Amino acid sequence: MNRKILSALMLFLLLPASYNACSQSPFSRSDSGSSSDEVWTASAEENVTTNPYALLSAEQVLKSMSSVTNTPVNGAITNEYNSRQSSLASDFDLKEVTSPMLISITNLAGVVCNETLKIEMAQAQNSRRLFSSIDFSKSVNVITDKSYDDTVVRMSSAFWGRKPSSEESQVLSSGRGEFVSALSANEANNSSSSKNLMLFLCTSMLASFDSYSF
Amino acid sequence: MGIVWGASTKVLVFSVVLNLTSVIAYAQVSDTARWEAKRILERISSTKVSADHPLIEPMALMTQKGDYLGAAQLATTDPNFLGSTVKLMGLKMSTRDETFRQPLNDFAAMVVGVTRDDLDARLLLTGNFYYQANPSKIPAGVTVRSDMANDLLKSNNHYQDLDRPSIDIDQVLMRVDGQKLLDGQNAVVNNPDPAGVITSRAFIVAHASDGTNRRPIEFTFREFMCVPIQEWADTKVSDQRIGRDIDRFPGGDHLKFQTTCKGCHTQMDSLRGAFAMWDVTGNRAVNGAMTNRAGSFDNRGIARKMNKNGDVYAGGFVMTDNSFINNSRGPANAEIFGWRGDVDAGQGVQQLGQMVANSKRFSQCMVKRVYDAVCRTQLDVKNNLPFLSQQALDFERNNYNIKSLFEKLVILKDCSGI
Repeated sequence: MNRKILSALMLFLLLPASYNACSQSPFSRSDSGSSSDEVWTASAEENVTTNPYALLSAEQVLKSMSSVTNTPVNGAITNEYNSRQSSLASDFDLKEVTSPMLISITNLAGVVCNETLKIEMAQAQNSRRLFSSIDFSKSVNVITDKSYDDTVVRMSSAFWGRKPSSEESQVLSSGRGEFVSALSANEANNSSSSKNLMLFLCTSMLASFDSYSF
Repeated sequence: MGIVWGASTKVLVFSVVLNLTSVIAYAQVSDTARWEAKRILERISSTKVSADHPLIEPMALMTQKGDYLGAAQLATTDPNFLGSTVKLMGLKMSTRDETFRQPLNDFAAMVVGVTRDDLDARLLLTGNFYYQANPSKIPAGVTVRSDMANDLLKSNNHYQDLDRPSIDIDQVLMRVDGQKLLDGQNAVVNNPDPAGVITSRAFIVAHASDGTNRRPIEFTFREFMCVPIQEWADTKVSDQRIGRDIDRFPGGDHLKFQTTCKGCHTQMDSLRGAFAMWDVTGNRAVNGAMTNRAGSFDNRGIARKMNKNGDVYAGGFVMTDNSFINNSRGPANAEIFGWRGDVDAGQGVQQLGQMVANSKRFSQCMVKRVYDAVCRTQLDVKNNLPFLSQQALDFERNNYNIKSLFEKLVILKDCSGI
């Protein structure tokens, strides 16, 4: 992976962390006029305080990734998890966020997404859960904005339980541009480029803050 | 001529009506109801779930009607409730490290089992049973080492093998009555002093290896009374039970003993007699009351380590049996623990477990444990005592049911935000 792709990936990882609390949830409490953030207050009556966010511990990250992608934990995922779990969080405290933890989550997300892609690519296109807008027999050049955006929305709903914010959509869209521009002409015309772009997109979204926090 | 309705026609019409009802019901569920359902499910299962998780829609139908408890009850049917949330809560309480990052063990398996089977939580400290895998429920092709001596009593192999994604421990675990130990000739015998998880292999090996069996007391109170030793130290009660290995003149200063050392030792030493017959040999728990016992015990079955270093202060207490005195009834501690029943003294770990389990503080602590697990926080006991006391009373009225406690706490606004 070249530097351009890496920098785009890092941008993907950071932006959802910045914007996830501000975006419109498909389950938002629009009818009560409050955002999900407003519920995180201390009750004077009970004098109980809670944290606005808590991390998922190592095992919970694995189970969550498996759950939101509908991908059973197989040998490949287990091997990656076993080699990464020591740097994943061992508790709920946000203080446990470290650089190695972020790298490990990204690696684990990559393996999980790869397995998800294998499962969905074996299915008929219109029966896929996440990638029903993508024709994997064609190259990345054939993927339209509409089908790319549809895939983003599907993964956002599955992984984050909400729609992507406009900022997130914009970053994910520009990330696609950077990804494609980093490919050689031959690579871009190869049908495997579609899978690679989806792997890149899935990994970015699955490794974002919303995917490993509550 | 009227229409003749055959059975298949009726089924078809019923099916159409049912589907229409579902469609109408789906359309009637608000985004808020779905958001609330998702929030409850994520808290209960301690995993992220997607918007199309199969439990979201039926739960949302309940939250829509204000039936949050019903939604929470449905959420506890998710395998990750027992397989992740409850298991991790148990694991954290089971060893000295108090970490999630360890494989399943017999302590955590019992916490999962007691929760799943809707048993009285006090059995965690008094029950004479354990949980292991039902061989008929282990998935084909999966090997789980299950030799009682080698894989359950001498090692954690059995539980470690169960801790894999292909196994739902909530489905596989079965309750087995009668805790077991190995005697000196490797024969499986009945545990003479069973007391739930505090006589599990994980807990005994974590806290009764080496040392002088003060740590099992410290951690019984730490995990099940939610009180660290420094908070129940009391220098104003009798030091008559403090062992001979404790220097009464540390650095030549008796005042230091009287004002600091004594505080913790009046509590731990008066109670540690309960564990006087427990030791660890070769990674397995052993008890001095067994015939053909392994380990190092005197002729009364008392672990020799209980009276070691007797020359430090020869006038100290000499342990000759597994009796204990409850020195935590002083004014400073009586209010903390809220003892109930006959709690002046006792014999053995099971009586200690009964004493702890029947206290008010045990119930409050269980509320804290569950609250911390499902609400993902660290509830400060001192600052939240009125809340804990009220919830603890409800917990007791509900037969000390842990699963119900999860269901009740998760729907509090401060927990899940709904």
